[in-house]
Amino acid sequence: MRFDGRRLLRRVTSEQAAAVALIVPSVVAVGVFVYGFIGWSALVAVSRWDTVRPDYTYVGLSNFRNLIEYFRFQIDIRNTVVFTLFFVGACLVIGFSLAALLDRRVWGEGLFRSIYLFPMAVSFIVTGVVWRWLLAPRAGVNILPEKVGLPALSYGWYTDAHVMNIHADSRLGDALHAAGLGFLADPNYGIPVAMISVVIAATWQMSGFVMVMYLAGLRAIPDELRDAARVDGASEAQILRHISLPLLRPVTLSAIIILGHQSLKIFDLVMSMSRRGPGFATDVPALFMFETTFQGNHFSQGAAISIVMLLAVSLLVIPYLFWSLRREARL
Amino acid sequence: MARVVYEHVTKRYGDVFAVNDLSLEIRDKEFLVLVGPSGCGKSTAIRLLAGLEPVTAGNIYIDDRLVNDIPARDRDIAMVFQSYALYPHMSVYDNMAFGLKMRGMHKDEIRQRVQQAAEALDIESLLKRKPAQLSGGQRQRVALGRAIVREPQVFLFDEPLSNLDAKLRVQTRAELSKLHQRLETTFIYVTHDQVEAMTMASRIAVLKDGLLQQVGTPEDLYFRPDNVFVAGFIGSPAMNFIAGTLRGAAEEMTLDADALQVRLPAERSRSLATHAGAAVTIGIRPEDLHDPDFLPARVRGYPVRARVDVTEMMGNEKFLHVFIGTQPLLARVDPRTRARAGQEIELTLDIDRLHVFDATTQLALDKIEIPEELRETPVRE
Amino acid sequence: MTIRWSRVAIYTVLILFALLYLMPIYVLLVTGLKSFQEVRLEQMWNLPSGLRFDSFREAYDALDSNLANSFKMVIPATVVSCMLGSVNGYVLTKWRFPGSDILFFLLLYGMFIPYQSVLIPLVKTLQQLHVYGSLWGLVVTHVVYGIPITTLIFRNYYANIPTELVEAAKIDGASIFGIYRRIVFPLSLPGFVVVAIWQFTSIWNDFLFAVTVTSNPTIQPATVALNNMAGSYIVEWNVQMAGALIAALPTLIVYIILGRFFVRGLMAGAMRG
Repeated sequence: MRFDGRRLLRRVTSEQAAAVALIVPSVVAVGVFVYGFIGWSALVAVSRWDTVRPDYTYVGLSNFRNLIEYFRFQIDIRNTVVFTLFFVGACLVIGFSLAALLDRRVWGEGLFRSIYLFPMAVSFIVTGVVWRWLLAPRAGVNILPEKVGLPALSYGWYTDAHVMNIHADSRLGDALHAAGLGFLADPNYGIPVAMISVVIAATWQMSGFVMVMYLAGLRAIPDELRDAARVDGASEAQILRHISLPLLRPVTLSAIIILGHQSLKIFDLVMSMSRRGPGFATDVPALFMFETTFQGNHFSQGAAISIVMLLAVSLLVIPYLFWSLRREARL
Repeated sequence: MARVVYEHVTKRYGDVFAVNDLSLEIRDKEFLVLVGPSGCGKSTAIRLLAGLEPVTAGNIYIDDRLVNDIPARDRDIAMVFQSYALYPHMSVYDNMAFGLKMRGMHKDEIRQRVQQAAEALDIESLLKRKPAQLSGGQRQRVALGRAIVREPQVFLFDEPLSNLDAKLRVQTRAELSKLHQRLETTFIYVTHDQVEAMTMASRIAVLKDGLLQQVGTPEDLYFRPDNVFVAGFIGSPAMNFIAGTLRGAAEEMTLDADALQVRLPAERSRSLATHAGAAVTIGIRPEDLHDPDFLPARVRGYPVRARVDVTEMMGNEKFLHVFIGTQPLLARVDPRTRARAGQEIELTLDIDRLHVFDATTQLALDKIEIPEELRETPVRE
Repeated sequence: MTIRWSRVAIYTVLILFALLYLMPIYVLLVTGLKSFQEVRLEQMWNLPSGLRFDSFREAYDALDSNLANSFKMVIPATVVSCMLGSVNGYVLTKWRFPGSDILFFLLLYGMFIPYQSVLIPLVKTLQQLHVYGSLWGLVVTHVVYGIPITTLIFRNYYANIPTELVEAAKIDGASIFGIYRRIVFPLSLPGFVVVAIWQFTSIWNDFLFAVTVTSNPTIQPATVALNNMAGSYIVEWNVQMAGALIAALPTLIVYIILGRFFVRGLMAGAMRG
């Protein structure tokens, strides 16, 4: 008896050890390449590495302070906020609408689904190249109306340097000023019109994904709930608004997180489509970081930008991961 | 006035006739139960009435108004679903108020109606809770409440008791009957459980494979089934069926089923005389086979010999599984019976409660009389 | 047969959007198939008069080696990261030990970080390992940073394999490796398909790591080469379009042929987070 017990104990521990051993390489790899490197970047961010030769002299948070005061970075923040709001918003609206339509027992649903989803399969670089030409001022979408006899558009798309903002001397501007928020009436808090072009390209790429998520969510709602609502007196639109949409909140949240964290990191698309744009209209932190680090050799500044990006993404993602894993545990 | 009429209603899915030429009239304030085995079309029938599916052919009238093309929300009906279909993200109050809100009713009036219904159903304390926090019985009452506040012309029920445990089911059956009496509105109720049908219905409609088999009061269906299917479906445990032949002539007909030979009384013989020689199915309910020692006074008995195979003690009665020759039968007898497994015994058959069906058409060849004391005065149109 | 106008409206919208989504592909195809004379910005929307493959040939010549580089990098990276993901998912779902949940959370976080925050150390480390600037450096990079997502997908997939199977195997005497080899691995095909498609697509389409880790144009993968082509002033725009199509072709083909598994994986909640 005792002999068996000891053998069992040894087998159990050896199996646990084997399990741990199997996963250790990955853990170590991620530990080093993710957490270790983040720490290293943080170190660089508080150093004075400004040339090709590494320099780890400690300078505290001065890099961050300089960044916040640097106009290009301020514009980057503005651009990121604008891009995120429009991109996530457009994807949610379009994705949900298409899903709601496809949910209605449509002929060729599979085909439509495939068409809306395929842009996800191509690289952001490809997307950028194509949409650069589609939205070029003297070509693409602008000349399309000529095909049906209408005059061509002369819109500037991503070459348009204009920033839509509240003017200080408008009525809204005065109202803001009275409320002590006068600083909002400034191009720094406006919408760079060129960004819309990038939003269009990005939405083309990702809205199919949101659509699939919503479609799966809609399919998961029991038919009886909708039948009950119909008998209760709701029209199809009312059912969407009062029944389906609220029950889809988890999907909406997941979509916002996934899209949101992508938009904070956006790089490839901007790189191939418009670069920094006129007057930095489409500049983004990732682009700034890349240029300043690998072309300007200002490693510390680049590291500081990357740490700011990391913090922004973490603010979004960590609460979500908690919420999501907690929910799974409860199920 | 909410009379419901199905006029030659058919619902087809491809080659399958879910509902086949159904013509049925449901009177105002009736409690009509649609009953039948799964797949018989009863759920489809009320979904057609609710407007959740369009009819393939035929007309449906609610309160003498043709509703074929009227969408569900304008038919003034309320429905209780099998799974209750409560909106999980809304509170009990909001669940009950939803239909009224969709119709643009004023907030105060909504509140009043919901309060009233909640009081009547004893769920006032649950108004703020969400469905996930309620028990099965509570959810069922919320589903009821949601239907009641609408004050519709017709209430539809789709197997609302099947998710409840046995004890709760019995309790709720009684409550539903009381509710029907109080609300004085037409109830159309779907179930596969013939016990629910027998206990609650003012009339029952039996369906099989999309076809209406018979419609009548519970007594009609129990004592005077139109065909073998209805006879076997209504009543639990089910009726015993024996294959046999009708022999003899005029006043002396016999049912010949090999080991079982039954000489029919004069009146019966007369009405069956025209079918002499026909192959028949004899129907005897288990409760109509008695232990001769404990025979009820009014029964005109006919002796049959049988061999006991298994006995089951049910408490208030005993089930005897017997063989007459090679024919298995079930008898429900007084629990004091001295019959034991393996014994040869004599049973008394209640000759007035024998059913005879044509073996080929399955239809009843004649009908027995409903006992005096169970007869109701016919309902006036 | 009554025409329900709501159905007409639905189909109209769906078809309209389908056209919008296909618009770029149309332009890509049409431009690539035109002869050099026909390629003019003002005539972007016109159909080609005949089928010419000049643009494609020129683009292919330019991207030729880069496409090969992409394949040389993507295939090993995909295979290895699939295996790692499978083993990790297996351990995390069937052999839980104290702290495995926290470990998983920490692993997942790696999926969301902006890679900018690890670029500088990554470059330095790869240089130390003497793989900087080579395709192997890229393979290592993609394998490591692919661990979180592949682990996630496999974990969700293996959660659906009943634990009773593993327990029965344990009683039968199998070891942790034996159970994987004989029970879990044979059941993993759908999981591998989803992960392989996802990784192939992600790694092929990656730009940031590619442009950071490799600097020699002969070594760079297709995405970087395409971007260079797009940014240059000498290359004609029709060649750029043809190049874009060529560079996108492998992932598009994977999508068209194996796309249903892609969608199935997404709809099954692999991306729930």
